[in-house]
Amino acid sequence: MDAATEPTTAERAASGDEVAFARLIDEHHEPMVRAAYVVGDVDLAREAAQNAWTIAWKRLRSLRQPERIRSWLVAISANEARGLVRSAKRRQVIEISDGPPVPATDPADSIDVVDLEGALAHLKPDERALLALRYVSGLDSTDIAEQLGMSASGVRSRLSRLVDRLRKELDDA
Amino acid sequence: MPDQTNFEPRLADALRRYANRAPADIDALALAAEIASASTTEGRRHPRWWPFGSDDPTQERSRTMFLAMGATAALSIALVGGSLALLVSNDTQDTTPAVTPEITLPPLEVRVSKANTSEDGYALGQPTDVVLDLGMDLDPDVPGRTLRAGDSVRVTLPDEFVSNGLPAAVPSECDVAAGACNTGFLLQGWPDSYFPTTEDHYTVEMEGTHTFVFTATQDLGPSEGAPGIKQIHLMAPGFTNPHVMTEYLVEVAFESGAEGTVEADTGSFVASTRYGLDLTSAFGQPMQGAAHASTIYQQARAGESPASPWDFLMWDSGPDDLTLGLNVDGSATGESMQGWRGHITLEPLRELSGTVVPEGPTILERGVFANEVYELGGWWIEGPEGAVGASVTAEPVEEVVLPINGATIPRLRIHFTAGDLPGRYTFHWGYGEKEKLFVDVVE
Repeated sequence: MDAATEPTTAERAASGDEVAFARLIDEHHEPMVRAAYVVGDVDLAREAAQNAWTIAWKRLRSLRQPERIRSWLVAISANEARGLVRSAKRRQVIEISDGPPVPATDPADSIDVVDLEGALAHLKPDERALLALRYVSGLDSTDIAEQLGMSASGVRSRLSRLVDRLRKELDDA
Repeated sequence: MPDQTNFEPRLADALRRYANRAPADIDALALAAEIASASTTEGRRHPRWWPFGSDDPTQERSRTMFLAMGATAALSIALVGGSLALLVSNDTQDTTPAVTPEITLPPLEVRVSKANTSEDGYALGQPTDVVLDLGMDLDPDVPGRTLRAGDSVRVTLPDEFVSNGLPAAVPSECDVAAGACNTGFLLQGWPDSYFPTTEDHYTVEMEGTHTFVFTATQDLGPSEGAPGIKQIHLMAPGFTNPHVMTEYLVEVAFESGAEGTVEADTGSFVASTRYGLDLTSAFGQPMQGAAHASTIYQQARAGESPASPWDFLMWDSGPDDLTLGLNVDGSATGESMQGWRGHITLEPLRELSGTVVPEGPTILERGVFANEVYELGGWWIEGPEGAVGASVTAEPVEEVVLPINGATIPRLRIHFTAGDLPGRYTFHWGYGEKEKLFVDVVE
């Protein structure tokens, strides 16, 4: 079997290979939690990511582009987080002690994480998910559009409005 | 003073710092095993090479020992083992002697999904209304299952589903639209493909509080234009879906009077929040039962349309609220069918605030996207390489009444015209897995 025909890890996992699936988890769990965390909180992010893996296991066989599995997975995780926030009507809890403080590279030019957290609390889960996928997971508008079933132009316009809102809020902070 | 002109990079930096606070430690191997194990009980099968198959209880100890290894070491060992095992798998397949092909049914593999003709049958705290897919290829050319006269199929809902004691009956024996009974339709692969719903075809009874028993009173199986049983549409207004969002297992068992349980499997029901705006494929034509051709799998000649249009139902919205539109990306008018895509949009939505349904975290989301065009999602069409000239058009939205349950619902009807080359054209809606409609173009 040459490299061109050798199944990818995703394809092996899709065929029921648990070890390959574990490898996917090992590789992608962290970005999934990160994306979900921006939508919710620590506990919700863990729950969302685990739910996302359950969904992924069942749907891997329908994954059309295995090379884009990361986009697919973080989108599922962010979507799960959105659903959990809505269903539980959870509110973002400001728990600065949850994670280690990360110093800004240039305090004079950086946005304070506490301020950001406050601003995020005013956003809807859908909006937070968009921010997470774009700026935390690094998906471009085409990727986000594909994963969320929107148009790329729609993603860009919504992101643009979100950034404007956050700019006003954070610069007033 | 922050840089006013460089906000986006600073926002991205802050979001990443914020996200990095989330602890993401995980025992990947244990989680994979847990998910796969849970899924296996629902019917998913291990690959041939899997060395610790749960079908063999004598190997359970090995499996336990395997999982007890240190996560990192186990993952490393297992990754190597997995590669070797994959080769073993291929070898096994390659050395399997060729046998004369014969028509065999795939194993029963139950999947529970939202009923296309229901607004919220899958949602938390709502009356249960779901479709149980039996793991069959839905292509009408592929035969489905047979239920011989006297044989039964039992469907058991988990205890978490709350019953109000409503009796069960075949649809023809009660007012289904009024929710007067628990009932079910034996489908053949598309929403209006049900077997006749009279007691001289099958009966529906409750056994205990949570088990539906469908018993054939004549042979129900493949016949001319009717592939056989592939799905069960369970309409259970006497049950309320659980309020907790998690997975529940629905059991389906085919039973023969002579042999007892022939085959059984469980499907996962993931009670979910209700999506306020949901476009589902269904069929506005009068329900015509088994003889009616599938609109999911159709044929057409090059440059022509298939016999039936594609109908989509827009749940949770009235016709005054919306204009559904089928849009085509500028890039989609190119010369190739590959990557041809567009969007279905909704405009404008009425100003409504979100509504929380009592006794459950079900949320309607109408109003969230008010005053702007809301894109319900993308579609794309795959076609033969090099094909040109295909098109899709939509009729104005029309309100229709579904005979199956009397629901009044806006319908978007899409007409597809095939391209100039023979082959399969596939219309994907949503993520590509939500709905697929196929047109095989013949010379």
